[in-house]
Amino acid sequence: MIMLIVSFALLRGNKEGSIIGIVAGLLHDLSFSMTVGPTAIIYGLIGYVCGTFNKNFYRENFILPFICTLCSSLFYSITCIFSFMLRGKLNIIFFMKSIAIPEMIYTITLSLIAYQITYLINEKLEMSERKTRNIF
Amino acid sequence: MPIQKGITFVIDKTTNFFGYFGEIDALRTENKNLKETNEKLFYENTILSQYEEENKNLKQLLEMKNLYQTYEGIGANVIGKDSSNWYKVITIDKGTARGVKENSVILANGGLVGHVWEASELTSTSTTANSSKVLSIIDDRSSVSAEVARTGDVGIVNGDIELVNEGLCVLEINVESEVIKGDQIVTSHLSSIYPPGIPIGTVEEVADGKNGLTRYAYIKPYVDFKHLKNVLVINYKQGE
Repeated sequence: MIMLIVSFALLRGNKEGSIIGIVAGLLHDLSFSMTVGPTAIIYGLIGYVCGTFNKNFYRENFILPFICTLCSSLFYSITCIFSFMLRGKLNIIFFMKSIAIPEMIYTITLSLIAYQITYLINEKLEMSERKTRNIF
Repeated sequence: MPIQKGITFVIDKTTNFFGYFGEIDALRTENKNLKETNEKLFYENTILSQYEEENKNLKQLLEMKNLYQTYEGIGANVIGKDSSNWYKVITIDKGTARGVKENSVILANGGLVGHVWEASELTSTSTTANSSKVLSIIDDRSSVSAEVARTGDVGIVNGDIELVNEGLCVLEINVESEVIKGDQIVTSHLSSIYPPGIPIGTVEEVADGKNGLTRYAYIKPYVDFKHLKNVLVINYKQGE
């Protein structure tokens, strides 16, 4: 989910990025979370922050999506670790070694494929937007 | 006569030889048909083994329903599992419209799965609207009042994120209790959510806590959380 939010945010901007993030987070919260909101806020923030880089990078460059996914995945893991720490689970090394780092590795690996797919989807979206603009 | 025999031999063999070529088309068709039949049978076999598995699960649930006849029982299917590695929440396809309530008890595979944390209040007939979130006993936020079946010592079974991948949970019990490897752990009479006597799992290992006051028993639950498909929901009220 994080890689999709990051990819769309980078390609569409912070406004759409945060909307996609909040909607995705709400869906996750409604299905699995005990309270509605935390994942929506986290994903919304990820979408907003990554979206701010929208105008400052070349879309064909894969380094920024890669770094953004890595940082976003780490941010999500840190918020989860923080919630565990509040309940007295302080084994941070375990959390990082067993959950956060493996999660980060497969997220960034898949992000390269996800970014390419979202890139193609975005191109089609922009094409249709251009057509709409021509009509009016 | 030998010449006639020789000629007959040659004619027979030649006829047979060309006969083989004549049969090739028939053999190809037969081979194709057999391959198709084989694929069909393989598919049917896969479906049947799935049915066998489902049958086993449903039989177990029926046995459990008969065991806890005093409580209202509802069968449900697991329709979702938390995709993150942090929490172990599952979603079932029955909500308040079908009698599932908050804190209803979830059973499967002859053991305790957890309890309903949130039952959907929507009365729609669609599956997504009519569902409930279940907090499993291996989730880090779960705590179940439990007792050792052999000795009657009461403790608390907690989910532990560090043991989740091994499918274990931990029983926190008084250091004076005589819990040993292989002991059966069941729900205690002290819980307001769980009825007493529901099997949770067996003790795998026992270790003393650093503070010298508590003993930790690592429990292997009876429920296979990785392959959970069908569950039984029972509604329990303390004092029933």
